[in-house]
Amino acid sequence: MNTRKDTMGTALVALTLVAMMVSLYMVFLYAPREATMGDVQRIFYFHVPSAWVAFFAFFLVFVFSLVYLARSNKRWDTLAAACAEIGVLFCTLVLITGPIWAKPVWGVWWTWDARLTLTLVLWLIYVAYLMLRHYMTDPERRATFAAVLGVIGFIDVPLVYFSIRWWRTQHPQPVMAGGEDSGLEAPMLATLLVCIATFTLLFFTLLRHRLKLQSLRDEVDALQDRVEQAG
Amino acid sequence: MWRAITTILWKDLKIELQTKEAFGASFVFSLMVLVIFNFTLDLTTEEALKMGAGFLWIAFAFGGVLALNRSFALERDENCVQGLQLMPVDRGGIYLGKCLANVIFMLITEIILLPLFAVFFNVDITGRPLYLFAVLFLGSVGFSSVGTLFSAIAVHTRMREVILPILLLPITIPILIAAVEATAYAFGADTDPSFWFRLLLVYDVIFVTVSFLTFGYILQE
Amino acid sequence: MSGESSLLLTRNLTKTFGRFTALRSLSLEVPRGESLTIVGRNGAGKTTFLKIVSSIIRSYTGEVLISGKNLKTADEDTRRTIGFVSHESLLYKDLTVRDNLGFYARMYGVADRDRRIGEIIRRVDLEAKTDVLVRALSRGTKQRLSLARAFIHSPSILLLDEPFTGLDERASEILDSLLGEFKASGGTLVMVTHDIERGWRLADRVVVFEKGKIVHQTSPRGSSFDAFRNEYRRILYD
Repeated sequence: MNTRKDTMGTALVALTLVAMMVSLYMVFLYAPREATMGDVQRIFYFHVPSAWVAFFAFFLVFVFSLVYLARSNKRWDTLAAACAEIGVLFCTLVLITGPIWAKPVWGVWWTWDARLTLTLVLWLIYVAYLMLRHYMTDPERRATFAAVLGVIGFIDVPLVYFSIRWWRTQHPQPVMAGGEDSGLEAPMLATLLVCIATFTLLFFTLLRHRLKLQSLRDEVDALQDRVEQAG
Repeated sequence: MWRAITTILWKDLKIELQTKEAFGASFVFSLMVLVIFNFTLDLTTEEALKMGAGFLWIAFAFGGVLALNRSFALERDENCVQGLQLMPVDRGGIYLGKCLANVIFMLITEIILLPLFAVFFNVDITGRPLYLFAVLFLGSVGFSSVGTLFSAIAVHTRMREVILPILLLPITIPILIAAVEATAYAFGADTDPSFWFRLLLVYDVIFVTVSFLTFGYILQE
Repeated sequence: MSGESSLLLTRNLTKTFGRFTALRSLSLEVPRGESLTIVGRNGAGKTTFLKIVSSIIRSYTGEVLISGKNLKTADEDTRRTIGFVSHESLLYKDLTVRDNLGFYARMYGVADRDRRIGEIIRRVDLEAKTDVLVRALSRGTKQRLSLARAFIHSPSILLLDEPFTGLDERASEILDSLLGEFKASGGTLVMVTHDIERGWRLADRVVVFEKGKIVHQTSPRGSSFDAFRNEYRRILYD
């Protein structure tokens, strides 16, 4: 068993914990109460960074997929898969925090606005990616097919965004007051930025953990092979 | 390359002429979708005109999935895929041939379904016929471009054809939105379709190219 | 190892499937006109080897040279010289005999197509069924058509994967005669088989694959079949 002391990993976890505590402080105590929406608005500090991380994760899936297609090294496939899983996780968070924020503020659970809808479509695309991986058994083929899907899925993103946005102007939904773009005062902006940084750290912590898990799995599989061959 | 494209197209068309599987399944299914829409949504003529384009493309999309599935399902028999892998041709050419065949099958279903749609929903589809044909063509190309690639992927998975719609439909959302809006315009709506036609074109170019370039990865073992 | 006189040359060919290594740094040279038989147990890498040489598998490490040209960058003309006989028929059920051959002939750029199709149909004794759908053919007739498919583009290097498995008598005869013709015209043959007797008979050289490597090599001209069979059994059951 590999019990090498993982200093980088521990440091990362520690840093993330510290950042989370700072963020929580800022979100609940430092940031001012929003004028029109009240305390519910604080979900914004979880909603937006989650969206950022999800998007970043899917961008990484795109990059790692391209590299895998070029280099055929299993490592890139593992990275792509891990990023996709974490991306879907944060995407789900966005889709949960969105309605929680929307209901008290705007009276409806869901608005088909461009960003939220884009997130939903993204969620569908990358869940399909994970399903494809799940339903393939040959590891090399799975990696290649998933990589192709990872590339296509991400290329689709801007097209989805623009099509939804333009569709939205053609089919306007009831106007919502206090939209997400309403101006941010300095302390709110600061809080938001800190939260984004925290979530990014959280992403890397989870990624590292997921990769370690995968390498443990690979070790178990290799040991299993050795046992089978010896016996 | 050109030889590969035309030969694959010829083969798929010949097989389809023999079996009529793709057309049969997709036409009947598309028709069923329209009929079900009629029963589940009781529409006035005005509403039908407004939403008709949407129904039409939902019907086309679901029918299209069936036709796309068949596209590579027929290669799975007797491991004909291996025959394709052995050939000394550019694999992108094989993709283009199959994609073209799928576009043709989709177009045939659409052209036959249109008058039926007009009759069922009392919609006047003759507003701007040239635009209508352009939308049908560009929309079918877009749908088949990724669809052909994903059909090749689906055939090699444990879930076979079942996974095709799961993979394909989210990716084709831009083209479906654009096709619906442009079709509404083609039926005579008073909107500006320039953005939608541009989007159709851009989508088609991007995804035919990307699918062409990545098809080789899917066709290898 | 000149590479020019050899039709097929592999250098340090390695192929892994996930954790399993099918071929380990395998180097093999097949001179022009040689008939090589590859034997070995299941999982030894024989079929993987054929699939790489025939371009079915395209990702591997090492080099494969056909007539001196690297397979990965070889042009259509070079790749066109490779033929593959599989135990699967690779035929389209809903096309006729003629159309199946027409498809393959077109894809391989066969010259004077119609004449060649007619020729190969006569050669495998399928003239009576020329316009019959493959779906309606009996198993034996399908096998003969499959052979026609493999030979239609007159390959100069022929790869065979268990070609005699499951063939009926008539198809077996035809394959034997086709192979005889092929060898007489100077073609290069690489055959993977479990039927070591037949493999021995048809070969100029026999190699044994085991765990992705060549572990034994012998020539039917230099030794007896019994000696080989004993050695082979020793390798397998050691």
